[in-house]
Amino acid sequence: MKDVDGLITSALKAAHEATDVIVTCTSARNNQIRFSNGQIDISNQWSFTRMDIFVAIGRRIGSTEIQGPTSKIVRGRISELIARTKGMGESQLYNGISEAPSKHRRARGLLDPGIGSFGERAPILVRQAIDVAEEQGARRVAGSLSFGRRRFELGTNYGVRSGYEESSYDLSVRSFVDSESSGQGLASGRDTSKAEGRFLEAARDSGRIAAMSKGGVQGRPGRYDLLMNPTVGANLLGQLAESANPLLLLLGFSPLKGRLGAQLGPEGLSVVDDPDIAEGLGSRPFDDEGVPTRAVDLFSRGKFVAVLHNTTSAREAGTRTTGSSRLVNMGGSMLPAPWASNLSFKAGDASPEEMLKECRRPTIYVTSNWYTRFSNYEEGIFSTIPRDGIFLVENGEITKPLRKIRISDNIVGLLSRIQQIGSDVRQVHWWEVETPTFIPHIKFSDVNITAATM
Amino acid sequence: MDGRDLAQYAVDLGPSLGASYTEARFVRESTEGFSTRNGSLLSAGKQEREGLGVRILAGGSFAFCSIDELTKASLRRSLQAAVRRARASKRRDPVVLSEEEPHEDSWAAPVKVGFGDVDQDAKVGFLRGLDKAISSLPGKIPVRNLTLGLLDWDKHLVTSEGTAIDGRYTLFSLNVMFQAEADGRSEQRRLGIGGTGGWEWSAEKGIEDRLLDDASRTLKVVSEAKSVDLGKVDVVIGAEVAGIVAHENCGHPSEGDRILGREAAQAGESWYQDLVVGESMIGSEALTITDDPTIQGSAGYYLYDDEGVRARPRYLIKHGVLNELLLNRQYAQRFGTRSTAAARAIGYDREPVIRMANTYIAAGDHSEEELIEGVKHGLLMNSFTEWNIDDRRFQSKYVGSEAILIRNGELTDTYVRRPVLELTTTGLFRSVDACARGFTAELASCGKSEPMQAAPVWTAGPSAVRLREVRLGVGL
Repeated sequence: MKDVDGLITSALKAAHEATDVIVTCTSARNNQIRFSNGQIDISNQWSFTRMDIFVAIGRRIGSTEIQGPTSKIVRGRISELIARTKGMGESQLYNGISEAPSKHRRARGLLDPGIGSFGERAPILVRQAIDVAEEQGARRVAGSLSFGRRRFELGTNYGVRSGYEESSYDLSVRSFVDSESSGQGLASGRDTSKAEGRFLEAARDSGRIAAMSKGGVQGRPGRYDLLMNPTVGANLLGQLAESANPLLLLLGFSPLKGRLGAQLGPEGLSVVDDPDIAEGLGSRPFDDEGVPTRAVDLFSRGKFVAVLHNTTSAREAGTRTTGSSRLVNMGGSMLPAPWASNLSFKAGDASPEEMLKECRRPTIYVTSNWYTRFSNYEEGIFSTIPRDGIFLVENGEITKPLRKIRISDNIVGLLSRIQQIGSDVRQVHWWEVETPTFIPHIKFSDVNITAATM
Repeated sequence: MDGRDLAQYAVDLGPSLGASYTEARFVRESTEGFSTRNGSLLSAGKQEREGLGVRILAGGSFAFCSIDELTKASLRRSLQAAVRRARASKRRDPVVLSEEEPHEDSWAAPVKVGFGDVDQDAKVGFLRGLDKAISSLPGKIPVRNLTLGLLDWDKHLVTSEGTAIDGRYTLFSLNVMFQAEADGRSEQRRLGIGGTGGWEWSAEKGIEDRLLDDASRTLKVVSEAKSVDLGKVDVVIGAEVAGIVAHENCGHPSEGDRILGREAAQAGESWYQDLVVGESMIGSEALTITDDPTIQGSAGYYLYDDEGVRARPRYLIKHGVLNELLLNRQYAQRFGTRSTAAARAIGYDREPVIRMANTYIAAGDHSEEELIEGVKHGLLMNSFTEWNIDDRRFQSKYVGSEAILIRNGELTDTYVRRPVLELTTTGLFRSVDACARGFTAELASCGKSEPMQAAPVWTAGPSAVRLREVRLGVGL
């Protein structure tokens, strides 16, 4: 491991001419096993140390990323950064970072020391998952298992020096009975002692759903009630909750524009951005300005009640930061902006089985989706493509598997059509869901379904 | 230690550790970025990184490692661990690579004005100038986001088979999102402009004129477009729509790793699983689709891929017949053929996987006007907004942005609001009856693999492609 403390000290010293400085340093060893057709395709390992540095001189802003830093490299790059920043015009959109050094709570459950020996078990766990999926009827099994350990350190020129270590794992497994009949299972967390059981459950789910999907028929366009499992809900409703963000609102990427304070969903809909969930992959004790993180209610009893803030957005809005600042990559440049940690949807009362049984109108049950795109973010008009198990539910029972449909609707409008919220909250984090989202099954009425039938 | 020397050290060390094949890539990456919102600077910075990525074969399995601590000791530890991991993979079917000729060569995207030779004021001024021009149009465009990315990647690839390639890739990338409003309605528009080269892109490519033209058209769309249920009609798609169709409906399903399932858990598989290369007729005779990394100035430009195979155009569909695939060495061997040089690694810390470069529908002999003249009742769809496609790449949806009604062979004054082209790939490909001349490209970022690798590509096409009798839906 590098002398991260020394590097941060060097960086802050080198940036002494700046009025605001954020330095983060991430030192990590991440691993991944990718597999398909029941065999391991590649085993990856990435070792790196990266510093992200943001500076402001008044309202002149600049940033740099240094990979593989040494004290000499850090001094040179920051000297160049300061010179560049001095020559930059002022940003009217920048309002500073937190100037108050704060005490941070102890990180809870972020690191499982067992992650150190997880690499030896990983290929065995992958093969077990493949075997379990095949026992359920899968003919081919694909997926990825990612895991790693990282140390994160933060320093600001306002006296913040803090850090933590964390571990994580993510398994995504997809089973196929034939080329068009598939199912997916996911498992994410930090505590590796719980990993094996979760992996087997995810593998079982993927194989079982794939077997149930066999013989699927072309779905017919129309309006249906729709039951989303947590994977689909995390992609769609998670994306909506995530857009309670002043940066996304400013840039035109939020369907929540102009709706603060509005009743958008039923009483049972409450969503919190919660950075203190033990197994949450987005958990962290402080933000990138060193402000202690805290839970922020975004939706309360169906009402859109708040957005996330960092110092800059809070000052613009005349309020206080929510401890949600993150150095956000804009493609070659970074800026401190509000960003979600873990999105957490409040559980309802019904189990998924009860929700299925209570479907009286023709209902489509979707278990995974991908490729969500918007015609217009502010209007909320979107479509997404269900994949893996899609089932028609009639009179409380799954009657047949479907294929080849598209959900084409309005994301804000969907909230007002929530009928029922399940009790089975689980964490979703995979290729299509970047922000870890804790969410149960959710049922909607009258959702627009389209299909390419020509 | 110098990264190039360390790459050679990796290749020399590999066999002694038990690797039957070693491929090492040392990359220096510099990305300068600026973004503005309504002319105000939102972010500015420069990211520079360098590191070494090594992929090895041992015991018939692949392992990959990357390091940024460029020392022999660090590399040796990582390689030893990589060999152990590869052996622990215990594949039933060992990975075998296709036989390819090793090359020692170098290539570079031609540059007239280096990004480092231009001061940052000029770069921010360029964005502000574009913003000012758009904002001065008569009409309401209250959201204008512009992002400029200037990439400079220096790659050194060596393999244990004797390949040694130096590649220099520089990309000018401008991404624009704006929102036009009128009468309580809004239209959002996203555009990618750029390609390989240098700062000369800012002056030589008519970017301001192109943006102003596009913004003016979008203002017209937001103020005039109305929902029309056209049903089954002829549709002429413009170059922008033709480009995304070539990329999504043809380029992705042509990727050999998808066809054989390697991407199944993430980006999905391919409906080509059921087809026979060289035999299956999947489109009309008028349809030819090519993917070509050798187009100078293009975003997907390279002369050797990341396995050191010499690049060439790939004729994916020729006159309606599935002609060839996008392959790397592993999947070329599986298909019993040679690599088509489609391996790309986006960053030193990524394994090379099969990617597109610049995918386009080949031009025909007609003018755009001739194609429109042949339509009695139909639509010209010049641009698109929302789009998606299933993970077997068979059911696509393209929602029109600028769409104009055609009557009796002439464009009318009627703008159609968000018509929906929701078709299967074969339904779309078989409906093509004619292509116009010309070649227009959009800069796009193609996502694939895990961890995600966003590859710069061009999606391109002739000025117009005519589809006969396709069903149009009505947008929300």
